[in-house]
Amino acid sequence: MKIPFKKLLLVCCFLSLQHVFCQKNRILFHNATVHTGLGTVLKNTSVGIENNKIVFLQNIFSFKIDSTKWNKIIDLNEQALYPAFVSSNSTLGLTEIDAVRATLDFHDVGKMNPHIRTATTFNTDSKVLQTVLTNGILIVQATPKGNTISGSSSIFFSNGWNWEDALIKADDGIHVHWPNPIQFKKEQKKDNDLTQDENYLKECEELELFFKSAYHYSLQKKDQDLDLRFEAMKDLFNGNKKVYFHANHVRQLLDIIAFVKENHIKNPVFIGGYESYLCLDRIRDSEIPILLTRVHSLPSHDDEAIDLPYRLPYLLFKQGILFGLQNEGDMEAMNARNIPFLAGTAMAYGLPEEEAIKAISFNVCKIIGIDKDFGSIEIGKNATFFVSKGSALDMKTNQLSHILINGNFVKVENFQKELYNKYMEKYGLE
Amino acid sequence: MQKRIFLFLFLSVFFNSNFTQQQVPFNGSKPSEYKKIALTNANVFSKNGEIINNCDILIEGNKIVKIGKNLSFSEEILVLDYTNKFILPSFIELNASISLSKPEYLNKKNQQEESTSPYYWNEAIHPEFDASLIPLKSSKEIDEYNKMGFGLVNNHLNDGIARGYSCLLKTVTNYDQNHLVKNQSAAYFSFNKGTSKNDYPSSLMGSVALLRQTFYDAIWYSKATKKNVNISLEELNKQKVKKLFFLAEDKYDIIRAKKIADEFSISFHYITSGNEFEIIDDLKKNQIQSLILPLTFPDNYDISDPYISKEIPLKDLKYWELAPYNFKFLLKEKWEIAFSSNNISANDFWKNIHKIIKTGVSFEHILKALTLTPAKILGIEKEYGSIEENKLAFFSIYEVNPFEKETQASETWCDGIRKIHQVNELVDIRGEYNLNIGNELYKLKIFGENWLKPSTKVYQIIEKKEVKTQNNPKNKINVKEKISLVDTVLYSSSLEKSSDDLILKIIQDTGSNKLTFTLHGKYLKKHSIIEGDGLDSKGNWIKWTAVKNHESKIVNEDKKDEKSTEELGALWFPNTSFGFKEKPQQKKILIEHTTVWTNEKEGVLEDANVLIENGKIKQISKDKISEKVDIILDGKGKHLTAGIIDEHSHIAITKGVNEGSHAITSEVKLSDVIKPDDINIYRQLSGGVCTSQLLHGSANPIGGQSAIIKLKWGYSPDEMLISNAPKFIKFALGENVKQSNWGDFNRHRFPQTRMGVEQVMMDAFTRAQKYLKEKKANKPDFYTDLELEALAEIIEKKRFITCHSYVQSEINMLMHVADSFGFTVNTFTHILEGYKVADKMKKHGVGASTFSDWWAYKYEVNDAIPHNAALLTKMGIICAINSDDAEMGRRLNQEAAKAIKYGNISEQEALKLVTINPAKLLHLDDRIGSIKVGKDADVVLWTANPLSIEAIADYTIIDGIIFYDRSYNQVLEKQNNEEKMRLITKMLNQNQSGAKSKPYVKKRRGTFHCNTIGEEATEEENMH
Repeated sequence: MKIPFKKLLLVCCFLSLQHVFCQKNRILFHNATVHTGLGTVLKNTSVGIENNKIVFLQNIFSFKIDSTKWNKIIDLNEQALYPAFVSSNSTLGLTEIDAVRATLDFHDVGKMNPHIRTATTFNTDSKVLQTVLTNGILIVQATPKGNTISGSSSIFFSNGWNWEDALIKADDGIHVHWPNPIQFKKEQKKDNDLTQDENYLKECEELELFFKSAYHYSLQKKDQDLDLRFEAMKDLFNGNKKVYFHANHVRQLLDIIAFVKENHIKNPVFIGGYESYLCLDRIRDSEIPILLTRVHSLPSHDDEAIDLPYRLPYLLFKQGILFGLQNEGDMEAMNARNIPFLAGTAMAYGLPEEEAIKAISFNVCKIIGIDKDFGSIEIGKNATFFVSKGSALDMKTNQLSHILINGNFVKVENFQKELYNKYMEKYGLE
Repeated sequence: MQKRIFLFLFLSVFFNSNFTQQQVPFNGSKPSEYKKIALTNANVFSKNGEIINNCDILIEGNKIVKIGKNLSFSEEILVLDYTNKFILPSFIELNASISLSKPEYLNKKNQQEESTSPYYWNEAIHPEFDASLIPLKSSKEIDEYNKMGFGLVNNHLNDGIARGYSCLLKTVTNYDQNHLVKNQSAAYFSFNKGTSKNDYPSSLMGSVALLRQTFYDAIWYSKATKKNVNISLEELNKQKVKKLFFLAEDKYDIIRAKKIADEFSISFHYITSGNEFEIIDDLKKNQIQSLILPLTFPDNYDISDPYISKEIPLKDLKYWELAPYNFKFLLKEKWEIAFSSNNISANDFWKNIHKIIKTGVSFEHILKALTLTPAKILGIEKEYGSIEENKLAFFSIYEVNPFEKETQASETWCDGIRKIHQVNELVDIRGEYNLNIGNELYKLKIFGENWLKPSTKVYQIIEKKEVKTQNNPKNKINVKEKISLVDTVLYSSSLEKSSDDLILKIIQDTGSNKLTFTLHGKYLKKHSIIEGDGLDSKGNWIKWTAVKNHESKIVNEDKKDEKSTEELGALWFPNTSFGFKEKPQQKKILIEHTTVWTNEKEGVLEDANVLIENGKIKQISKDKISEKVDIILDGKGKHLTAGIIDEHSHIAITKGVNEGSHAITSEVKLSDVIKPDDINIYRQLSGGVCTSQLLHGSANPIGGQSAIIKLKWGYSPDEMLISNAPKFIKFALGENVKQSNWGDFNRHRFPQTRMGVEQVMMDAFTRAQKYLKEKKANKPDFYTDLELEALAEIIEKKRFITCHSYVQSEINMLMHVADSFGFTVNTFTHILEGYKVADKMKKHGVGASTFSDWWAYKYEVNDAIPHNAALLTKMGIICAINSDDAEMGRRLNQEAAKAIKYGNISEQEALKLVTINPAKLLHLDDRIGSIKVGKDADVVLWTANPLSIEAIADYTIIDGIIFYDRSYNQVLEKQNNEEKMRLITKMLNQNQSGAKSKPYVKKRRGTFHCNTIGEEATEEENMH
């Protein structure tokens, strides 16, 4: 945790004092505008937590505060309270400086790497993580990149002493980068090379064979030699692990729908899904959710509507497709702090505000399989949420006042703000 | 198995020649030759394009001595009968490149060796190359030209920027002659460095700069008293009075080259790429009058797969449709227009000519563009280019009028030398036939657009007489009815035809048994009958005949009317998706009842009205403005701001954002390479951007000269450039400059450290200072150096520096360098550690243009903080927020708003970060950046507070012209889709009726970044 020692000490003292009296850490966040993450907003509502669980959720006019019940009461004065925003499909914690190779830990060698896992690599001391956290991104799905099967992702709090401490769910799913069906000019081919189409079909077949082998491996009962790759794939077929299919092209999407049906895959997810707008009903019928391509990106084609990437969330919403937003792309780790504004843009282009919030909180948690405990402000859920002075989806008003991760307060400032303060002081500015 | 009818025969008797040549030893007795020949009763294409029937031509040696009807010839003249044949003057090719390659001496491995050779230092500049000195290795290529009907080709080395001399060759030679007609007939230039191994130039703007510098060098060379011999420059100086050709790889290359021509008082003939019709107005404005058009047109794409066809850009489809019309559209301008057959095989030549004919151009124009016009361009029209008395005997013979039917020359006469290509007469056998094979009757249809290679269809109409029994319960009589069923059975067939001789193959597959017939026959023209013998599948010989049904029309014939009324898409501005059907024009516009963010001392005005006239802001008033206007925009609930200015942009650039091959490239200019049809222009308009500074990349310490454009979508580069804009140049410091992230191979170009960067700067300005001194001394030997010229302008404060920078040490360093040469750094861009040296920056007087919140992409941005812009603003430093990214460029209002989040500055101050502040940095704040009477009418009407995430631009207006209108954008979207569907359908129809198609290969989408090296935009990681 990146809390300065002095402050930490203070908080610890305070908390331990309270513990003497009631053994339980009960805090009431009084009078907030609660965005539940479920598509609703509760005005003038108080949220109470006990240790790391939300135990109380009520309109302020419907109850009287019994201050003896709470160790601490924080009057939020109608500030906005949000469930944790989630950065899914992210290299956060796996990278530090894009140009410094020594800091890159998300892409390993090999074509089929389901056994490669981020669970034990996630760097809780990442400075980048610190700057993302302070914009409301409290949960990260650290995801390996590259290759056909890049490996297994794991889900973490964006703050913790070490990966073990921060871990929410290990090996939540494997990531498959679907072969590319479109031929590009730059790849100069010799005459005897396969055409892109042939190549595509060949690679799809290779992938299918791998999945089929893994499936049969998973059916064998005993006495088999341990195969690390197939072992990692085992849980795909009983539904305990997701399969994330990274794909944007319409042909890929449709091929994956067929692939999923034929290969005993219980929990498929699309990552990207850019051209889903061309086959919305097929996607809806397939019931495969989408972690949508970065909203702040250019249309992938000159002829497409110039605001298509901005409008996509609304188009999916209208069709009733379950989707979440993520921000894979250029400088994605540091840019994860702008995920709230991706939702903001989606809102400007038609998505209702609470749906936009849902798309970066509850929906993502549901898609990555942690919605039992995370993603919404409900009784019984984990106390991982934050408070912002204004709308968190608008950079003008995204100003965090409290961050709670797994029931613990995390400071709302980071080293960048400290540098700012340091130099403001140097110049005598206010 | 294909039979060749195109025999290449030289007659054993040479008809030739008047040349008094040196004696060439030959084997055997001297070949015989006959000098006086008459070609009689032919249809001759005269000089002014008429066809003279029954015309006779008398040749003596290689000269046409007489043309006329019913001439009488004495007995000593050999008379050949050409009844019904057509005689065309030979064509002249201006853009041939036959069996030439760069000679050894030009291989310059590295630039260190430059001083040892008497040639120009750069391998792409070899004006001294003389094509006539290289013997033709084989006659294959030149024969191909001859076969197409070309008599003369101007041959040049298709490699390099200053390519050297061409030579004029004739396409046929005699035993005692060679091909050469004229050496040093012209000189050729281009912007393509070709096979040169020099790193420089690596971009289009580098090529432009290099060519300009070369011409300056040549001027200096001609004047200088003290100099080393330089053969290249000597020859270049001689070339200035020659015919000069410029190979333009794109329509705008023509204008780029024209500007160089004007600068050095020379004139080019432009060999073009085929899309000139898109910019006729620009060509007119630039007084371009001599174009050599390609005869190649884009192929159809294979679009059977809808996944693929959707990937084909509308831009390509629109070009595909209109490309054959290029000539027609340009003809209206009365320019000198010739054709080049470069890259066409003889088989395709007439096919492509007919594509042009189908656009409704008369054959006279086409013929002229192939003959007389190129002759005039080369200045040889006195002897060549038409069939006239006293001109040389260069013509071709055709069996049919080639402008009516696709064909090929049956013989060519070149300098009086006859060459026969086809011995057989060409026969059109298309039609419907009654086919009889061994007494079995079939129908045969021979059809297709290409009458030389027609398709076939063989079918049989079988009448089956069936007896059906119908039960009629009432009558209790079984009524037997005879019903005739007509069934058409189609058999697969193929045809190989040479002249009147043909082989027909039929496969009759009736499921259980398969019959094949292989039939060989001859077409008897008189009777319209084909007859012959063949084999059936059992190996029996059978007789067969096919009798032409005279009623039948040739399938192709009735298609012709359809073609002339071909539905044609309009030319859009620009001719790509979201192009306008008409260029939007300046209007008198009133924006009413809106919230106006003035950026002036008036602050934000609620419920105000703004009047725009003649491209300027005319009135701002809280009271009602009741003037008659063209357009009223209701601004109720909306917000009006000044147009956004992106101080750091890399959109709209052609072929290369970096000329990073040298550490200093101050000679290159972004204004040379503006790409007005980059879709990102339109996309950024939708984000309220009106003005962008296009910067050179950051691959080297001293980059190129910036261009400041307004995003006038649909207009030309010249119209986009802000007139009399202050001059800027890009500098760069840090990791990109020292090639830190370029891998292990880039460790040799100086500098590799920040220490080295300082010395590059010191050295550059020291040289510039000396240069300036010499320039002012006005010495006759003064050498114009474009690189130092730009640097001298900086010292003279006529050019401003925008310097890419990150860490505090280097920022401080450059300010010290500037101080020591007495100028001020104008802008630090990126400047992410600016907050650490804000006091020093303020003292120096430099401005800042930064990112809102980017960091962590390089080591040098480890201490970057998103509060930078706010802190610098609070320090009183003029600070802007820029994009450096095509995507983020359309959300600059959002980026500005981040300064409220990080650093808590006011909303009005935040908006200024992307409007008036960048205007100040660009020294354009007297014209743009705020809403003030008299300023340019560059305004944006937003749906909400422009700093809120919900703000969307409804209108973007530049100079009083509405370039973006959100509701009209939907019309354009629809228009795109409809046009694309129309074109795909059209292509599909053509493909189905047999047009050749090729698979579509997608171009990698990419954008230029600071660190993009080379001419192609990439998807590589953006290192800014």
